[in-house]
Amino acid sequence: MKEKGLSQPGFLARLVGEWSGDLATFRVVWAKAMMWIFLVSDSFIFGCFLAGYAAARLAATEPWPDPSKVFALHIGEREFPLLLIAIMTVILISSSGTMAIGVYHAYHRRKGYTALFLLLTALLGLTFVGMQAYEWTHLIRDLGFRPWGNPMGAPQFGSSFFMLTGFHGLHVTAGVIYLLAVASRVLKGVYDRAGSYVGVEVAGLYWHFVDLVWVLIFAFFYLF
Amino acid sequence: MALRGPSLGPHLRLLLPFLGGEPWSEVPGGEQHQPIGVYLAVWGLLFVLSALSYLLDYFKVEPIGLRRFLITAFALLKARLIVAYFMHLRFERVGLVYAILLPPLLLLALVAILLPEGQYVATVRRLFLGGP
Repeated sequence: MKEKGLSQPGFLARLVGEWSGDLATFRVVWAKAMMWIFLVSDSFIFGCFLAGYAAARLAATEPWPDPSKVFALHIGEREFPLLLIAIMTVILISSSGTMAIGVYHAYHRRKGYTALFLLLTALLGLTFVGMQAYEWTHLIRDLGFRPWGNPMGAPQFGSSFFMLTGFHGLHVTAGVIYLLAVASRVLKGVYDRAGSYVGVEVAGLYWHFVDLVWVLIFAFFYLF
Repeated sequence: MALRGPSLGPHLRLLLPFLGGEPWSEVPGGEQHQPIGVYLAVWGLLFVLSALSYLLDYFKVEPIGLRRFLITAFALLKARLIVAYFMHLRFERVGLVYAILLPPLLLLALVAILLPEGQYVATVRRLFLGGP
């Protein structure tokens, strides 16, 4: 059965049809619907953090520290602005790519490839967390950044930074553990026995969401 | 609104001849999914958009308003690509799609409240606490 694109005529009629008549509205596996509901709630958490950061930044009377300088990497004599964050972004986007390919193989029920790409995704996620730990250490120890102040300008910079990136890093860490659990289930053949690999797709939804949040943090905190 | 357009966005439509295959295909069990080329194309696009955002900051493109507008536009485009293709929202039923996409729009109300609030706090601080 071919699903129509949303732009085709009659999508409103279908929307009404799906919500009416005591039918199952979503008709997806419950795990998928539940993960989506969790992600919607999570988007509210990060949305509130970003909105709060915007308000705090607007309310700051001291100059806002320039992220390009704060997060610069020194390689030899030269200083590369924001390079560390750019590398972290590349790594997280790559992990989203490997996750998508893992889900693609899960659709085809290829156990080995699915597990391989899940582990690769987890490894990239772990790399990301490691770089973030380095970034935090450097900022706290070498540059003297604190949640209540810093030597480079507005104290709100520290509070926003540790809140946003800390919460996101927590999500990545939880995601790595989640991916490892799912990968072990794939290898044990749990999904083969259940006759469905939807668990991999649900883990993928979570992972892509973490990537999505980073896209917004990268744009609004590091580049703005 | 995200997820509009033909069954594949125009940017991917241009790439499809090089990727081979229909935009989606059936596998046993009625699951729809995309050929692996679509994932790789989206991945590549995400890289390009990220690189462009980074370069905008690197060269400090002026005026700052234009830079920020482009950074925001690229971020939203990346978000749309991730949600539509990586999270398969293009292929879910509209009932689910709208249940997911509409509630977060409430956040716009929060932003609309908080931005003037931030400006106001800054003004009051300058008035009573001094400062630039």
